[in-house]
Amino acid sequence: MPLLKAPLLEWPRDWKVTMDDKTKEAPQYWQSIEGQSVSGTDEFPSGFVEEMFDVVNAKKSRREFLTILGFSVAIPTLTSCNKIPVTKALGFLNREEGTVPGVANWYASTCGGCEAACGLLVKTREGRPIKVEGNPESPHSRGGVCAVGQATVLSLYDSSRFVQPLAEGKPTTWAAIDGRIPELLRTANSQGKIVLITGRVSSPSTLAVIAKFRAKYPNFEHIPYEPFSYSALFESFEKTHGLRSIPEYSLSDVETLVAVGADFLGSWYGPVAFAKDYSAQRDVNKRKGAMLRHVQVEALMSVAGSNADLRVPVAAGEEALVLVALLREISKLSGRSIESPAVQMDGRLLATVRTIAADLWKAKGKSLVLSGSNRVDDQMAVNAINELLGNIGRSVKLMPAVDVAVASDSRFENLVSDMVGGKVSALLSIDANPGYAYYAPERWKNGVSKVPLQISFAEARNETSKSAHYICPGNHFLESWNDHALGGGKYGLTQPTIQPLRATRMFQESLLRWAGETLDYYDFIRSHWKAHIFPRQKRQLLFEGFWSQAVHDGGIDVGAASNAKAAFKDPRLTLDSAKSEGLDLILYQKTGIRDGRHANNPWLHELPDPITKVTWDNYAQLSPETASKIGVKTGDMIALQKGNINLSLPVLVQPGLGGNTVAVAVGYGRTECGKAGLGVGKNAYPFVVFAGGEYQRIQRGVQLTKVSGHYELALTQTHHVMEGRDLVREVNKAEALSTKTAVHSAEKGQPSMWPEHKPGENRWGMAIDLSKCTGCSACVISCQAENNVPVVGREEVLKRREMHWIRLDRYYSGSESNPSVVHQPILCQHCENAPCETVCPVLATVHSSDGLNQQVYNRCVGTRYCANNCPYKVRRFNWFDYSHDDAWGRMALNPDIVVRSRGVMEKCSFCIQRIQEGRLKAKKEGRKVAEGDFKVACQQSCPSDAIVFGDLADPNSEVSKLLEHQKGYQLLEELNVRPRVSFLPKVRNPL
Amino acid sequence: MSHSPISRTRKPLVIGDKSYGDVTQDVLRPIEARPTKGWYVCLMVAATCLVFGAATVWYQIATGIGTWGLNKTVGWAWDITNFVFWVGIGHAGTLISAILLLFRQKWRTSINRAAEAMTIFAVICAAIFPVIHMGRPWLAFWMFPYPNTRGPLWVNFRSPLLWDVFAISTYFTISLVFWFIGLIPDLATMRDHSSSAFKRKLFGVFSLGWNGSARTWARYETLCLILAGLATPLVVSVHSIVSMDFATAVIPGWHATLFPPYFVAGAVFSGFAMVLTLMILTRKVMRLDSYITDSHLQMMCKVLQLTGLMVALAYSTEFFMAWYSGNAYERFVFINRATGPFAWAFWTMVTCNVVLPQLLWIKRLRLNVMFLLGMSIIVNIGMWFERFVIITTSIHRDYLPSSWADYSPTWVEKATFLGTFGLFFTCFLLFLRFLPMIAISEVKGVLHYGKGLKEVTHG
Repeated sequence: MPLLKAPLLEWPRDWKVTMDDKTKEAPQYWQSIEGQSVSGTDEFPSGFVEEMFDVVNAKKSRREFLTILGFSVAIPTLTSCNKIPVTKALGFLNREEGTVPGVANWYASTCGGCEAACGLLVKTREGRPIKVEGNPESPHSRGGVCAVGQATVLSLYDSSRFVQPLAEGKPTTWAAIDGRIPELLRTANSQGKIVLITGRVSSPSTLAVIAKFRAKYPNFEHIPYEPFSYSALFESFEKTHGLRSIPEYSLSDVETLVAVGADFLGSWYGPVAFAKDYSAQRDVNKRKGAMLRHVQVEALMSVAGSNADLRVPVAAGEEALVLVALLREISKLSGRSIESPAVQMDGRLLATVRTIAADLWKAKGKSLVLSGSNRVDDQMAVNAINELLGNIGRSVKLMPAVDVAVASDSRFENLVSDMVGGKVSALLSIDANPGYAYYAPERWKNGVSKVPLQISFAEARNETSKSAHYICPGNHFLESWNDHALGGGKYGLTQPTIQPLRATRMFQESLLRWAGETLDYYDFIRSHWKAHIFPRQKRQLLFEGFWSQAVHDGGIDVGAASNAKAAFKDPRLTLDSAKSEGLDLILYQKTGIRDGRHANNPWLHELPDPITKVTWDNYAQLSPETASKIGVKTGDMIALQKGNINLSLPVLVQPGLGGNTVAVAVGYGRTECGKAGLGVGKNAYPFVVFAGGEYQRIQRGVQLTKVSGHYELALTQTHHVMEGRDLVREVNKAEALSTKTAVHSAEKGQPSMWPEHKPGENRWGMAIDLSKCTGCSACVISCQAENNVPVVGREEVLKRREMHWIRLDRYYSGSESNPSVVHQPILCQHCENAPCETVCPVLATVHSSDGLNQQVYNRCVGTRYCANNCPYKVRRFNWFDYSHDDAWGRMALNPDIVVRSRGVMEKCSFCIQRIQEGRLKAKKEGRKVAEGDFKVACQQSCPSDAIVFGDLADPNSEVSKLLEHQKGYQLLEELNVRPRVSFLPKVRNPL
Repeated sequence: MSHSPISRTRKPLVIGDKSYGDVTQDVLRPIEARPTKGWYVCLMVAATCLVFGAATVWYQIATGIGTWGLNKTVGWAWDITNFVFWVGIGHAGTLISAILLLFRQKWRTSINRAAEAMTIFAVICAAIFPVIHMGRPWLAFWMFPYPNTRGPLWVNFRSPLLWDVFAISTYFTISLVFWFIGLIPDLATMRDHSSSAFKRKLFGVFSLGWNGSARTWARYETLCLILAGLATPLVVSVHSIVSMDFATAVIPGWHATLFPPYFVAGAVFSGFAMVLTLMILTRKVMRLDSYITDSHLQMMCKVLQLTGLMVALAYSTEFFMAWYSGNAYERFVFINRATGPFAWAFWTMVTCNVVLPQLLWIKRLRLNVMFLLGMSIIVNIGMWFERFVIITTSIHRDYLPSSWADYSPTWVEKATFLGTFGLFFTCFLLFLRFLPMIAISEVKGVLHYGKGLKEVTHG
């Protein structure tokens, strides 16, 4: 009976309706206290129910019945022909295969947040991706994902993304676009050069698509462009080893690591993969003392530098000198002379360089030197050092740059010249945003004005798309198919986790269409893989199996191509050792915003910088010495000037910053983007110089003047020393290895007035290894995404009202010019004797049987007494109704977590929803919840495995073992609040 | 003077050779005559403040507590400071009416009525803050333990905030009852004195059929004594419990066993200062200096001096304990208090509460009414700062330096505080206008003090 299926059987069949007539004489039952009305009288419009059921009760005549029947059959049929607004609810009766409402589906994919292309697991709920996590099975990133990767899920729902293609600013359809553009491209092909600018392309299929496109439009050039490129790094190998290579770094056998200006734990190259290796190599207990020693020579106080055993602050311009000096020392030690210019440097610095060289030489073959410089000569020096130390082929594996198109700064520079010269007839752009990031905006504008056809594939409005004639919006990577060559025979796959939210399509698809191909991009990837990647392996016999495996795992390793044989040629190095007036300016990328492409992501704007703890802005960092010389304090305005480039910025006095240096983050000051990023900070790209074939990010001779005005920076931490308090314990390697028993009073404690809590089946606890935590802040965004933590904005952060449930306390010790840094993740400590619980007048914060300190949002009246009484200050209050009124943004919310209303206290829950999920899983399988059934969000995303969560009641759990064997301690133990979070001390490995 | 005093040490409590009839006339004059211009001006000012404050509170409740200057570290500042400040002011009333009654301090009769009224109005002002400081004030009724259908969800009897609820509501109830009982004979006087039938009816109802018989008087006095006995513990308990909001916390600077007596002394100190302010102003405006005499002011000065010294002792004890305990956090809080970002507040407090009141030792100054008025206001400013210093300087820099934060109030907090002054003075002015501000019957009982008449019986 299809007719009855929908309305009648679904109707709440209340007893009151069927008993309607009989209850006339019967006792009058209430429905509820509120509505004491007798049942069935006024719950529905009068007569409505009767009419509905009259059909069934057949009180109508046969004719009327047939009329209704006919009408009821016809209407659903007719309405289903129309595309009426469909509310896509998921019914149990007729649900999508594999989708159970309330149960998450996970898909393996590859991150599109940056070039590192880390392996992801994407969590979808009811068809919406709501969280990305590191894929532990990824051969490349091995679990963990950085803050930027975590935040990409919010960019998917960015309401400023294009909703459909635009032609000359007017909405149009894909059909119209596809009808028009090939013709325009043909014309362009005949009139000049068609240029496609992209970011780095490491997708073999995309490169094949581009090749197809080139076949159709031969007058074509593909120019990858990255404003913060690794151009010099890649090029240097061509000069020193005769091989254009994308090196693969491995710390797995490294004893001494020297990084010169390379923030490999923050934003350089692939921080996640580095962090994974780095923390494993620095685990003094697991490695029985063979702990990696880390030396960082840098001008900027970077995340990597903050973790170094020895950090040598130098002026930005001195980084190059140090490399050459290091090369000279190493070549002296190795007995192989390499021609290099003489270096004039401070005697003390030279002595330090000698010590470093000696340490490297001791660990030859087991060491690694890195440089973040974009000068080819610097990178050649690094290659020579690594060569002399025997590191090439071991910690630096040279992979031929196949399947990858990396940015070449000189090619892009030529392009701009061509554009200005009117040689470019069509400009297609995706992922690259030179309209914002090109150092000479006027020159770019001039060039662009001479390009008759501009097509942008940008997902959202940006400075480059602003001038485009056609906007053919691309998909977010979470809506796309793509593949990634990850080097050494490893490939990653990106699979869509949601239908495109708007009328967008992958730019590869557009290119295929315009090249006259009929395959869609998905089939294209498959065919490409079948032809080029599948044959390189022997495990799977059939392509289908191979493909499903790759899709399931998010990638595949078809075995390394042979390590490229490369012969070392002595480099010819030059050095600019001329003295310069003024300061050295270093441009750098912040951990969150990076090169500016994520500038419309509010999570990343509100992510406190791991070092400076500033949110929502960029600023000029000065060392305390330089600042006092100029007479400025944090928040004072200064003007930077070089040639005709001027920029005024607020000062941030940064301990440990190299002398005579000013550091400014790029990626800010966007003029065309959504509302979150618009007008945040200032654009520092104009200070980039094109010199020696590369974009130089270090500028010498920058003039700095104090100007009037004050600008308050939104800092989340304003006090930077521990005041001699025992908050972060530091030990050196020897102390860490001593057999003295662990000092921790996790469950012992002092006498207490309160009765003990009845021990439950589980006792959840956490151990945080302070020597593993690099401060990268991935956990902060992971927690924010998992727990629907609101963004409050700059003004509220200034009022010290940020809402993050986990924060990283960063303390300095030692001298201002070169302080030691510690990072300490602080979240709710889930005290056994929780001070918050005793003071809440309405019992809105209570203790669970498994030891969690729980916040009951709907009971909270908001006295804030609990927050006042929290010694760790981890409680966060909803001062306002933090709006979730953006319909798109709301889709990123985790449906397992309630959105807190105004006036309610909130805090870390130890991801109780995940605990519950794990527990239910175990229950269904008829066993106790075990290690590995779930991971809490911060733990899951931590690239360096610093956070371990588990059951303290189980002596075999990892957390129990850690606390048993290592020198764990609890924060503010003396208060006897007995936290469930323990810290393992920070271990340093001094030279 | 026709009567020579029996005792040279005992000064008359009422001067000007008043007869019983004069007392009635003098006290009821402001009620029965048309209000003065001054009264209207004062009421206008007070009511404007009240309305502005009320509008601000409405705005704050509609927008969110974020309109205040609080932050993740400083969860309480002006709100609870104001609460403790007003509760403290409310302290003088019970002390005067209950403890001084039990101690037979007859001088209290001239000021007890107004002091009790002040108590009631101050407690109303105080009670506003715990409600509006909540994130969701519309759920304030959840603070009361009553049977409910939510589980039933009960309140947390371990929370000092809940103890506050009981302490304040009990205190308010007892104060109100005490005040009303004290008013009965005077309401009867007003009933008898009134020419309007309506007023006779109205006061007749509220005077509960008082007939002035010896038996009525005997019962009345017994009841007063019983209520005084009941109210006496409250004088100590209310502020002790308020102090436990802080003392039971783990925050250095709050966590101190000294707090209950320290807070009680402070409350009496501030309460008497406020009584002094009001009495000096009122006796001038209402021309009642025959009843509120200079010697009354002297008495109040003594109490002020004593409690001020107790408060000073408490301050120094806190510092001593911080040093003596060897607790680094505790030490830091006190060093921070005296030298940190809120040092100005601390030194304001010390100046107003410890240094300047020492001038009261000088008799010439003590007899200067204008000086006393200034001093009483200074003490109240100092006592407000005391609460601010305790609350804010302790939490703004507690255990983890990473979370240290500063605090500054917004206009909303300032306007709300101003609004409570508006409320207080509006109520007080209406009280002056509609009820006898001096206990007529009690003053009649002490009318002959120091006039050489035979000893008058208590009452």
